[in-house]
Amino acid sequence: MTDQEIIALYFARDEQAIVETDRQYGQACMRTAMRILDSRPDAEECVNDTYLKAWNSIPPERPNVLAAFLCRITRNLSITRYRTLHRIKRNKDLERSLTELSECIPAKEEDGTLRYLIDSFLRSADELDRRLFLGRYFHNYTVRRMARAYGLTENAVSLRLFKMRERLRAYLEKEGYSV
Amino acid sequence: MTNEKCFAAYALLGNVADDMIVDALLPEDQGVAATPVKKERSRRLSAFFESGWGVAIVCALVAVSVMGGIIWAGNRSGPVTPPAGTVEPENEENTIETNTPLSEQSEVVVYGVDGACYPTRFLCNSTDLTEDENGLGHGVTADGLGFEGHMNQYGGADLPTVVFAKDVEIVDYVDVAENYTITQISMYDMNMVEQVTKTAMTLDNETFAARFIERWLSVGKWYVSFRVTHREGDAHHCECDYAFIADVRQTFDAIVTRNCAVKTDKDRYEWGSPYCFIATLTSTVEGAYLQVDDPDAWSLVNLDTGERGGVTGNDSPYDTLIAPASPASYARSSYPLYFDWKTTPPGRYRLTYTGTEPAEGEAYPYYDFEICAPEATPEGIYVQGGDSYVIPKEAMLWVEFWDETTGTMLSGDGPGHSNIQAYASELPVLTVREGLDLDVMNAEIDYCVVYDVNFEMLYEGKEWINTIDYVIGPFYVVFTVRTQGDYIEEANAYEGSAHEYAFCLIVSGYCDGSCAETELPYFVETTPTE
Repeated sequence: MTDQEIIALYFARDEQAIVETDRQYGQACMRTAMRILDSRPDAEECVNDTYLKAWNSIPPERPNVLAAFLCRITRNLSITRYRTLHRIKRNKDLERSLTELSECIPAKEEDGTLRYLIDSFLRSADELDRRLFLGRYFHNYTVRRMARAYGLTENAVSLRLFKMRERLRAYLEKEGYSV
Repeated sequence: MTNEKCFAAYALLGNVADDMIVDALLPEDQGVAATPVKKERSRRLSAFFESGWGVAIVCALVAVSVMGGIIWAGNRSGPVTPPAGTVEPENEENTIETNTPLSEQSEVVVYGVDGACYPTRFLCNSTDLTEDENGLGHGVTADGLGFEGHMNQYGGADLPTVVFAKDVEIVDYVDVAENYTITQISMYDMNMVEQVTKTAMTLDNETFAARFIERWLSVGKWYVSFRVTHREGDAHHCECDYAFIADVRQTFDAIVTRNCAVKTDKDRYEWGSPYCFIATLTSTVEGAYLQVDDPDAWSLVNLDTGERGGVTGNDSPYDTLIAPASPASYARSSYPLYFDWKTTPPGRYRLTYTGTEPAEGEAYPYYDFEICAPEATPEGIYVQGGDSYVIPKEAMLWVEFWDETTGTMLSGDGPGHSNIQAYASELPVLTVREGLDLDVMNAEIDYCVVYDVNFEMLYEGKEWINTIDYVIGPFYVVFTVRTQGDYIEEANAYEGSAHEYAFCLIVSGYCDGSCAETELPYFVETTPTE
């Protein structure tokens, strides 16, 4: 079933929308949540809440790309849950990537201009660099996994990420946003 | 450590355009169809949406009501079947919206540490479809206040109390009859201020209830209400709240019983690491309760020397693992213990529980295990797979080094493993289970080649191998490691070398019986992986 057909089910308030969403994107949402939370019960709860949020927001929203819409919800719910959980074992890989990201993106409140700048920087970047950057800092893939997926060494991936962060930081500083 | 700055940056990145987000997904996450949705899940989703929207109810009623439409309770002219389990009101005129019938029920059971309870049922709404002698369909609906409405109107209700303890995990917190579905759980404080409401989207009854009870019920007393829908085909649909008082405590002192078994999660532990082993006291008596807060009741004795090891309890930093309780019991508990590795050297030990008086002729429950010295891992290059590792055979490819005497860079070439067929049977062997990651330790590989048993090349490239692709075997794996040495200013070049490393790989997989004919000496039979 295409995204448009699934969204049509949401608009028709047909519960089959959730069934199809789960069938199409359930595993992807689960993996997104697991990469952040590293706990199956917590991840299942976040995916559960993702479907509820999707049901409550469509309509009136009509996402252009359902995968990205769901990814974003799951990601946000997962990081919120991660922040509120008091865990002994933190997700070290996530913490490392969060720290790296904070070194190139300033901690500003919702700022339309800053969002636009980040978006345009990524759009103008090399395709592979952009995929690696978003793969690491949006989708929380490990360096190792991306290295295997793209046929690179882990060193090569780390180096490309480092250079992207440096370029982004320099670009934002030039536009008046310093970290 | 992460801080608010990190999370703020993370949130900002979440606003990038959709097409770039999707483009960055790896193939397995790009909307590949998942496993078919289970029938049970579909039924739950149906129940949820119908309870919240009533669209299906309206459609069903329209389809059935050909002549007379819907006949409301209180003004009915034909036989009516009230919702199952509800009490017939004494005054028919008071059946709608003024008097929510409270009734005993047996379709939802909640288990706590001190026993089971049947939550009180509060009707929310119900619909029954019947046919009269002329074949005309009649629909009877009834509305109730539900739990929250009843509490708001009457200020109280007769509710059972269930005791939970934070350090006691129950096997199953709820039992729900067939065709009943928990769609929503709400929690209120004792002033009926709502704390949280969670909706089940894809979770089954047991999982949903367990998650809610364990995650949201903190120490204290709370009103808990399950919103449950019940369907009997198209003839009957109702929605009720099942409510009880949850008395949540931190620990639960219980009666100690006899006939207990002590279990740990494994029988060998590595000395030198502050490992927490989990000892579980499991009762074999139905409905038994277990003593859980008495660290002095545990002893650890070295079986070889008779010395006592350090045992501490109560303040375990690790999550508690639960061992399955005996089928007859509905409550189980576990008490985490860990040994102090500084005072508990390698040896054979016996963990004994003396908190319960054994029956005549029986001994205190105990468990024997071993603490072993950790194996040292190699310092050089080796390949790790699960608990196994192998040190591959090294062969030089080339080397470049600065020669002081001649003042030049010298180089030398080696054969590497180009003649691997000649000594393949002498290569070190690594046997692992399918699906395990193989890791080259203490080196970054530059290149990798895999040969089959006939030395046909199966793979060559920069990417490291995956055991899923190489089941059974043997396979011969050769990888190259390049090392960069010192920079030599006089030569404006670096010293360096490249070596090849080879080993034999056996990956155990599922054997369907045909594998018995293989002549491979290293084949390992395993049970199929799920």
